[in-house]
Amino acid sequence: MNHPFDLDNFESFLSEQADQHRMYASDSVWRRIQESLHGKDRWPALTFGAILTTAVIAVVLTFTYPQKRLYNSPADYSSLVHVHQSIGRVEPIAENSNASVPAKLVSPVVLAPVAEETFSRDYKNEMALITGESIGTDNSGNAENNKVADHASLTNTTVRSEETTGSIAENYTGQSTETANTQNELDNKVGIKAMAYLPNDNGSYLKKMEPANNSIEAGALMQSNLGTKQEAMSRNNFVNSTMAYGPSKAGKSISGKNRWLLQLYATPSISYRYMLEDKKFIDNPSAVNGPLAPYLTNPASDFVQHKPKLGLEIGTAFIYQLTDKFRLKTGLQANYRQFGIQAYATNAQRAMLTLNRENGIDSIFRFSSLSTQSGYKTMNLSSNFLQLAVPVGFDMKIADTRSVDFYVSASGQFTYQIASSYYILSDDYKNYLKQPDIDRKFNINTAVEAFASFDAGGITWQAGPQIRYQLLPGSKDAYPIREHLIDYGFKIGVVKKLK
Amino acid sequence: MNEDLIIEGCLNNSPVAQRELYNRYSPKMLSVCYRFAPSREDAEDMLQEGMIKVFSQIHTFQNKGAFEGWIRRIIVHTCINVLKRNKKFNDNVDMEYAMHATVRESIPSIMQAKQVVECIRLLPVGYRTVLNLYAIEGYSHREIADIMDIEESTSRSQYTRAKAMLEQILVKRRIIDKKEPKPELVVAAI
Repeated sequence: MNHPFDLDNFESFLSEQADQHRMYASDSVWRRIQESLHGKDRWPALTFGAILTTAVIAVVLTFTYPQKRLYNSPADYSSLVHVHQSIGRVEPIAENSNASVPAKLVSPVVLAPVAEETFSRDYKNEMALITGESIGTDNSGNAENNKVADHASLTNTTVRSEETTGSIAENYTGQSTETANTQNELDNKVGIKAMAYLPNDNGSYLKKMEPANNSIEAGALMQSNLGTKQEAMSRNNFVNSTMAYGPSKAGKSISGKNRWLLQLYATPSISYRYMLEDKKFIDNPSAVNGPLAPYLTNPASDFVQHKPKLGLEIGTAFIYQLTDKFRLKTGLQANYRQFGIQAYATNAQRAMLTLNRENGIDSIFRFSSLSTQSGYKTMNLSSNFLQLAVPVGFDMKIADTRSVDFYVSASGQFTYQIASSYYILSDDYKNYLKQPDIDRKFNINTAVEAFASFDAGGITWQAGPQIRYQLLPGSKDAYPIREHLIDYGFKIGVVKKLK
Repeated sequence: MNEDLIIEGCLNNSPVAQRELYNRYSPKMLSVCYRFAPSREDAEDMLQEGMIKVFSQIHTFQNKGAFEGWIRRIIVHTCINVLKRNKKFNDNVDMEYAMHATVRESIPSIMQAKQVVECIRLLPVGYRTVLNLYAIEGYSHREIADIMDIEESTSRSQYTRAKAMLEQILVKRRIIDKKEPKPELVVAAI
């Protein structure tokens, strides 16, 4: 229908038409406005956790890496022995050099001073470290009087501290020096190729030791002997006192006895509540016999102002070291979680709560003096939960350095709610109520974490961020709003091997 | 929630009250922005900027006039500032385009109000702005001159031309009945 246009009423015509016009902005406009007004504060704990983790790792690495004792052996090994790295291939070096040859950390096995030709094996002998003090040396030119290594450098992958047994510098007589594993079974299998260049009487280095017949992974075999050789190795203090070792983490083995670990931990965390309307109520309320506020256009979370609060998890776990990089764990854990809600004190108002119970709709009328929207006074409500949980999960090592291991971990936690006190929304989202009989007692939580593990003070420490999410709603299915808790925490734990 | 509670909630920085205010006034205010803006996306940007100003300056509202009018003034000023910032006032006046452009004629059932708004949007930016401010928002030519940094006489002449052009567009779209144009309008349009 055309408008009876009159130039005298032009302005009023336009104004009338313009006032009738409405447009609806896309959701992104409100989101951007909200972000501008309140900021993106939904994931502050992630930022906090990431910064804290980075700081902890940085501090640990700064103070523990590299290990000071690594190259600080009291004696100067460099002028005494040079170990060739490869097996079965020897390159003469510094034949005529009088200069000292720097000690070199090698792999895979063992070394010892080597005479030019003789390479006798007596694998049954236990290790005896040759030191400068125990071996007489002179410069007479006699091969027997060659200056020998008073220390030896052990290899990186198989020899380390008290757990390492395989490689032995057994004896040195000037002409013959031997290095070998002491296991009988190695006799026929392992050619321990100990190659070293030793300065002879005229200052040049002795040549190579011929490789053994069988070049096999001595390190792997030696690992199988670790358990039996620990005792023998314990008598030799050279490892800690005079040896230079390779990377400390390498070669660490797992025996049947030390696969079990005990962990104690605590996790300060802050909790948020994540709210969703149950779709089957909202989209088609008649299908489930529940009205339940389907007319509200805004999600329930828009009516609730959450404030995170500090909670705590403490627990103990038994860890089974399945492989070097993978371990299983289970234990017992107590959780105290809480979050805050901003509400308004108001005069008592009639509030309705409709529950879709198994036997039909249950309409509950209450009076509530707590409003979600306005009132004469602002109030901070607190919802609290005390839970007992049995976590079952795994740790997986993803990286390691000389002194710090990095793990990721995940677990499922079967949770029983011992006690709780929390508020739920009325049907129209305008009031807060309590309805304890719809609390869900049994729940399932999941947790993921990343942590750094390091030794300090004789025990292993673990520290890293953790996120924990409650899979099932906090209330039973009768309540149409699904509430999930999510915790952001920082886990600190200690681990001890079980004897 | 009544208006007083909304204002009180917004003063307390309550997200619920802010959302309520937004839901209540954003459709009208987006329409205002749309009449000034070159596109819907620009209109939404203007609305966003304007509503942020509303929320951040709500403590300056004195309860002396209509709350909606106060919001509207902020939105209008925001639109003008955005156009100034983007130098949209300097766009060339393309009369031919305005007279012959199609305004979604493929949607015959469109409401008349929307048709009128779409016709207003066909006007060149300068004309459109003056027309919006004078005819719809109720600003005087003096105020328009101050807002747009132009002479008052310029505002008057632009309005006269805008009015004539819009009339022709509306007639062409058959939104209003065709009338014999007054001589002075014909001259002004030319």
